[in-house]
Amino acid sequence: MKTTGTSTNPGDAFTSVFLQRLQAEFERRRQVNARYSLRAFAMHLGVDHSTLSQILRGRRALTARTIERLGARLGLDRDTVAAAVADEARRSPNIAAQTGEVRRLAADTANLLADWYHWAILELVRLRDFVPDSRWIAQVLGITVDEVNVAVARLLHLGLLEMSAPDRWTDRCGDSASNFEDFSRAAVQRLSEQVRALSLAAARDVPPSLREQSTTTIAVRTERIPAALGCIARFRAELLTLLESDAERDDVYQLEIGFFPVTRIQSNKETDDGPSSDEVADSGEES
Amino acid sequence: MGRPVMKWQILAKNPDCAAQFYTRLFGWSVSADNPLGYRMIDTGSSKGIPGGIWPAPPDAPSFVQLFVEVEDVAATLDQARELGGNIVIPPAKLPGGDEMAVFVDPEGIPIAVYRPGA
Repeated sequence: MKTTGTSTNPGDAFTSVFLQRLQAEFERRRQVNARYSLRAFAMHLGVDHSTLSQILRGRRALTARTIERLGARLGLDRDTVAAAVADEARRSPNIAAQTGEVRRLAADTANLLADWYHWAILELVRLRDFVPDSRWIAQVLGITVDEVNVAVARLLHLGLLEMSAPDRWTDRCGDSASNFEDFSRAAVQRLSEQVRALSLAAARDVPPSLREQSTTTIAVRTERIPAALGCIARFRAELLTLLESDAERDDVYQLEIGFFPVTRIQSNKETDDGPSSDEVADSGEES
Repeated sequence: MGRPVMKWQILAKNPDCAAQFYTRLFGWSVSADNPLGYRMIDTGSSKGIPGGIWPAPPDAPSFVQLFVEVEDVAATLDQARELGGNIVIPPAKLPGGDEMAVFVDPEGIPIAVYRPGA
């Protein structure tokens, strides 16, 4: 079994200027007095010791108000505190923007699959007589101009439609999307690609203590796969139940679960066992 | 040339109701006679900048959006991304000739950038 994962110790690249200063101050006090405790430091700063413990381990976000309060207790000047607040703000909006983008992508994909006319618009775009005019599209499909424009914005957002010139719209689903199922697959795949990009950004920008990103490669007995899928379903349900039990929540996370063969052993076995029913149907049409 | 705010638009869940509300309130007139069926607003004054009404997606809130004119839409988006923004609508050449894109800033505010068609 080969596993890669994340360390649990926040590195400097993930630690804000203020947190580094706080950690350094605690360390300095401990060097002066080896018995100096976290509780004593918390008392000096006027915060609960468990809160301070979470802050020092990078498990609790630092708000501007907290920085100002702790900064005053540490005797920092106003400019230093203001710089620390700005540094913290630079870090958090990126995460907020990323989570907002995941929500938008997921909502757009869900709407895309729910409303038939997204696919129909891309079908129209492929026609030689296509007219890049929302009023024309609305008339042809029997929907409103507003529905067309919302759908077009969604297709643009997901990268499934391109307006490369005022009179040229291009279907970006690819040649493989020849029916609604292919289109659905392309839409979900596009969402998956965009979420993966956010996952890479999180690996780069978010402290390891606030995320879990690991991957495991393992040899399996294929008869165990149904049971393994059951385990994943139960884990997912249990985790969602836990996270949804809080009435008040203060952040958004993305859970991605992937469990799939990395070889083509099973696919080749199926091919060796004979043609699928689809292939039989295809060959019948050709003859 | 600078990067001026040239237009604004209201994104409304019910654009017809919004158009009716503002035409009654301010005496504005609305025309949608263009390829996108875009409700362009005539405020009846040469002061200020022009605006319009666009349908908001059902899953998004209604809001007002600003349009900033730039020389290079793609380069502006690259810069927005570097500064912590996210692209919502990649560059699109609209039937009227303008090139337009939308990003959200780090606060989550959607801003449109555009380059007028020749």
